Amino acid sequence: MKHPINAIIVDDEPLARQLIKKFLEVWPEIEIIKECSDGFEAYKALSENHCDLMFLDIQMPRINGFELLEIIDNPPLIIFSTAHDEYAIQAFEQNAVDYLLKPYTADRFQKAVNKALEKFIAGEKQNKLLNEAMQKPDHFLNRIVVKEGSRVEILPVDTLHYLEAADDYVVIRADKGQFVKQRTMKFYTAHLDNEWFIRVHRSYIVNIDQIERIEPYSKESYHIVMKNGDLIPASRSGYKALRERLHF
Amino acid sequence: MLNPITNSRKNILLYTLVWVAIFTAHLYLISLAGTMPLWFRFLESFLNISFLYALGIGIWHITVAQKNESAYSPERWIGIFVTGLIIISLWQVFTGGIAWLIDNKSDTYSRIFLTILPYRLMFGFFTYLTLTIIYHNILVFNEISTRKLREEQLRSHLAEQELNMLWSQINPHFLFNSLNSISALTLSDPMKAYDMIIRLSDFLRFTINTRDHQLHTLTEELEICDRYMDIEKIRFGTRITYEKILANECRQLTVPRLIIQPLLENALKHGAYETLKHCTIRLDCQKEEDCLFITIKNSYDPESVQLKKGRGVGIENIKQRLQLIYPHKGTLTVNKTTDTFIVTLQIPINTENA
Repeated sequence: MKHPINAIIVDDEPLARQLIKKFLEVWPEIEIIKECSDGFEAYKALSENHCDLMFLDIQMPRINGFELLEIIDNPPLIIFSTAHDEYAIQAFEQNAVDYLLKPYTADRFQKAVNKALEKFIAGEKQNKLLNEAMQKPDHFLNRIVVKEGSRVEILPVDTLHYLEAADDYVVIRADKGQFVKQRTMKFYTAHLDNEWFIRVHRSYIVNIDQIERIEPYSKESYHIVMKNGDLIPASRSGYKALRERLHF
Repeated sequence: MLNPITNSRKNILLYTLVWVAIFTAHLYLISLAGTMPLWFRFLESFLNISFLYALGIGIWHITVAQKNESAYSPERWIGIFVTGLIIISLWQVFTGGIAWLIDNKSDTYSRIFLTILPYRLMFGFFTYLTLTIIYHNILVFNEISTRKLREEQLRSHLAEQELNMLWSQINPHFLFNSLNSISALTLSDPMKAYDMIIRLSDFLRFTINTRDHQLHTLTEELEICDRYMDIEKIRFGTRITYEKILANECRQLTVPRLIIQPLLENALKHGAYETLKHCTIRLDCQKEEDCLFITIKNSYDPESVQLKKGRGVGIENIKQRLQLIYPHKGTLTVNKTTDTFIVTLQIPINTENA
């Protein structure tokens, strides 16, 4: 017997999971090792089991589908299954095997699984997803999901203090502590609500709620003193942006 | 535009009566200027007054003809003045001339005519001016009320459109996820699938057919809510509990269509979509004095990160609709405790429909 293909189904609706399970009955080589109802459970399942194929919904409690992909290291082949048609392009940009729009036909499902099997046999792996375009530009982030060792933390954006650029990473300073995320400053400048998050420097974005005071440093530069005591430099244009936002 | 005097019998009669009174006064007053035979006084008065009578109706058309000029420009009023002077002078030249000819060009009449002339000129001009001003005001008033009417129509039209927009936002994800659940049920439990299709159809019929009526009874509204919650319960299984308390006296009260269902949707969005914990939704309808109070309580997981915008839009929509339907009277308030969201709708009771 062939080596079985381990699959995980992630969807918060029991009937949606049941349908996938039913459709998968015709492939004995695919073994469903776990059913999960949100991103958290899926993350746990993925770290405890070897998984080759994942059926993934996008809108789910706690951690959504895209956020899950941000925090897993060796993603399996992914078939999205969702009622959100607006994410299709982004899903494909991220090398998802396929994107099933609910409700879908058995034929359509079969095509998707066949594609996945081809990739599996060819030994192709899911590329690490770099979903810069995850959210629509008119939709600001509500939370950032980060991984600290094996722990997953969800940081609501209003608990963030500031973000600092560090090479290819961004260091995020929040109520819960300090976290590193593989993202660009450009991404966060665009995806954090600019009502509250101001890029004060090439390497810093601050949450204006967390500013204690702003004081002059040298002739043309300023320091921002955060409520937690940290000092953040503000460039000339950054200072201007702050002035415009805070009206002083 | 119709002449305000000739467009109704009553106005013609009234106008004629006024001039008969003036005629009588004139008949008497000219006798003060000199002795004339009665038939001649009659004739003289009739000539003068009938001219003014006709002029009074005619001025309306002159005023209407001038209406396109700006209402208060000096040119217009100078025009009105000069026209008045010419018309009134001509009036005296003609009627005086005719009367003089009838009286065989007598010197007696000439004397009497010249005595009366200044008074008649003044009176004629005064009448002309008064009528012009009255007509002018009628025109301006008409114009304003037409404009107001048009604005009113426009506003109500806009409000209607706005209302349509506000309630046409049936959530496509709800629809497609439900259809997906049904597709699963067709394979595993056809009877249940059948049942869910009927419920979904009922719900869709309610939401699609609501364009014509703003209001319906609370019983009807809760029917929609039940259909909606039935579907969601099938989707989310045992994760949802839905309880409702409805005071009997509230059943026939009117409420705006689809005012409660979106609030339930909201409650689920935060109670069930964002957490795996059990979610209880409690709907309570009570009547207090002249208001209907509808309270929706839902538990939520304080640890889940609430989508900031999610609740805002739905709640804002309902607030706007209440504002449009019951200006200043319908309200919606939101309260939040550590694990419960409470939304309260206050709807004034329309006694005619109660």
